[in-house]
Amino acid sequence: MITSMIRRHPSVTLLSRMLDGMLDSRTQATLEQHVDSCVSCEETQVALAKTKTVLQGLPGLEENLIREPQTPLFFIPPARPTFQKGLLIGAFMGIGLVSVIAAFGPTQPPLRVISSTPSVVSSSEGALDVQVEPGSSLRTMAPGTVDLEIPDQLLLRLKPGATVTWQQLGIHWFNRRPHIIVNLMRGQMLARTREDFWGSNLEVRTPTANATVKGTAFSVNVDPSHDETTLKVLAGSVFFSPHLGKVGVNVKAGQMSRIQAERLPHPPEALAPAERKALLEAYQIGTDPLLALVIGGGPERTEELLGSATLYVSDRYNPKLQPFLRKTVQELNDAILQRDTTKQEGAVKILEMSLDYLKDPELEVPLRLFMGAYAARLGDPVRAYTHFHQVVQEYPRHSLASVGLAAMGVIAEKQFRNIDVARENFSRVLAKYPKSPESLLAKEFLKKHPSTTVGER
Amino acid sequence: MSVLYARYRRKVMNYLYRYTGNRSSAEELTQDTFLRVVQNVHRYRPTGSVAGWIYRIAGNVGLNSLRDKPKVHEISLDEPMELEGNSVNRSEVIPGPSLRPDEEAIQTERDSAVQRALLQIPPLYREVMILCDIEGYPYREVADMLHCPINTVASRLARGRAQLAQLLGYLRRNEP
Repeated sequence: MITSMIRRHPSVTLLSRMLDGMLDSRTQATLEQHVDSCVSCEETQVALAKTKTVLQGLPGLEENLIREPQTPLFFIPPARPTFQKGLLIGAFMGIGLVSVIAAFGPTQPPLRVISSTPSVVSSSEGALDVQVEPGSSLRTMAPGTVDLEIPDQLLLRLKPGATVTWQQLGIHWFNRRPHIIVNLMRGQMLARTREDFWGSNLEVRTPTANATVKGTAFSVNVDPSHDETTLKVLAGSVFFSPHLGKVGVNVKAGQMSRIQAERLPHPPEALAPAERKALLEAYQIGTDPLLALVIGGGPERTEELLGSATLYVSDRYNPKLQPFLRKTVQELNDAILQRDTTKQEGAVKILEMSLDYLKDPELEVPLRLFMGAYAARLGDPVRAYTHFHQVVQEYPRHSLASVGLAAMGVIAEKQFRNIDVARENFSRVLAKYPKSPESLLAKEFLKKHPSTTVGER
Repeated sequence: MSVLYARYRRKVMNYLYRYTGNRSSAEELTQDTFLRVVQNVHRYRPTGSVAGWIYRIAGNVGLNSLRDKPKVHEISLDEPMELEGNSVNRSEVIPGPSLRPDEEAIQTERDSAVQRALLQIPPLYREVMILCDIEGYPYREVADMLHCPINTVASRLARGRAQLAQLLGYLRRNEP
């Protein structure tokens, strides 16, 4: 083969490879023999060698001519310590306080696997009831799913084909709330936060995006083949930004957005009814509630309730949940998603009549709050106010009682246009539920409408 | 990250300087390269070398910069300028940290000519020449960096060398 090649002049590629000693010994020897006897090829070979030598001799940029960048974009300069006496004392006291707090409390949130299909999980962390450790990873393979939980705070579901790494599983040093950063490399993760999650932090990082959550139900889906992350929010709101980026959008309940690699998020757009319905799966993680209001866990939930909140109703058998109740709630949800007002009103009438017989907070509170919100939407503030009031009166310790009270404040302000009554309700929120998300709404309202005393008048 | 930056900044800047022929562009592109390194650090797979991965990013940054060349004309210190009827390198006009002897001046002029010729080589060939001949990486490593077969590296390098040899007058135009 080489002999036949040598009858013609060898290609410049062969000569170049010969120069670098990148040919097998036989070809190398044959070529060298040809080059020695062929003036044209010898000339080419010499030219290539000279070129290589010239390139090899090119100097690098002289060190003193390489300018140090003033502040590289990716380098955050360390803050210069200022040795002021007061600050130093403060710092020592702070360190002491943190040490005391850390010494008496857990350092890691108890995130545990509550349900999995062990044969399809490629990690020791996938075993049932195992506490997840920071830095560990988890991969689910079709058709398995893994559910995880921090009791009363957070529920996560990894759908088939999802890969996650728990980058941070910590407790915030000051408020002692979970602070979780999870890297979702591929696949889909569903999340739902629960009553006690407010004040905690969950950040889902994907190769292209970050989703920062305060309290909500949502899904994040990573499609590595298109370098794209899709966020769908069923309830609450999620701050959605490019990977490690600061600029992003707030995706609210019933909205979705997408981020492609190194791009800004798409403006949020409304989820299709079928997509909203599919996201209700977030309520099936762990022990699903018999009946639940589909609202977030942050201060936005009052607005969501009065906006277009739906209800979740469980499929599992429970004697408390009468079949007619389940069927009617399902019909109502479908009618809301399809915007069929006639069907909605029919279902609401049935549910409203059944309310007096329920007498079970698990069912009555979400249903009554929903009825109140529905009445408010129809422009019947008295009926709305009555429902909210009943929840606050009868179930003051229920985790949604603060939402009822805040909703009373909003109805008083917006529909009755009675600022005094609204102020009274918001003051009660602040007094009775100071740690609830609604306390933020109350503070905001009271700041805007401070009480006026007789003396000031 | 800061270790990577300290170790590879100069190499990357050299590479991008040879690629673009412009020192200030090379500095900016080096920043861009390391910004991308930070943003994509999770994509790094320990199967290949870190250097290869960084050079690959630098290569893409360099190629993109050539595609999106700004309409505003940037003046590089390394571009020749007319001064009293002679063509000289701008950086030579600005007093350097030390005076150069005559030999060094000749060497600098030759290097500038090589750099100018290098800039006329198509970017695909140029990046292989920089990596193989200037930076001294073996074919196999360059193939890994550029995600292409080793034969492609060999043929691009050969064509690049041949074109440069012609531009520098070492080879007649009708050679293979």
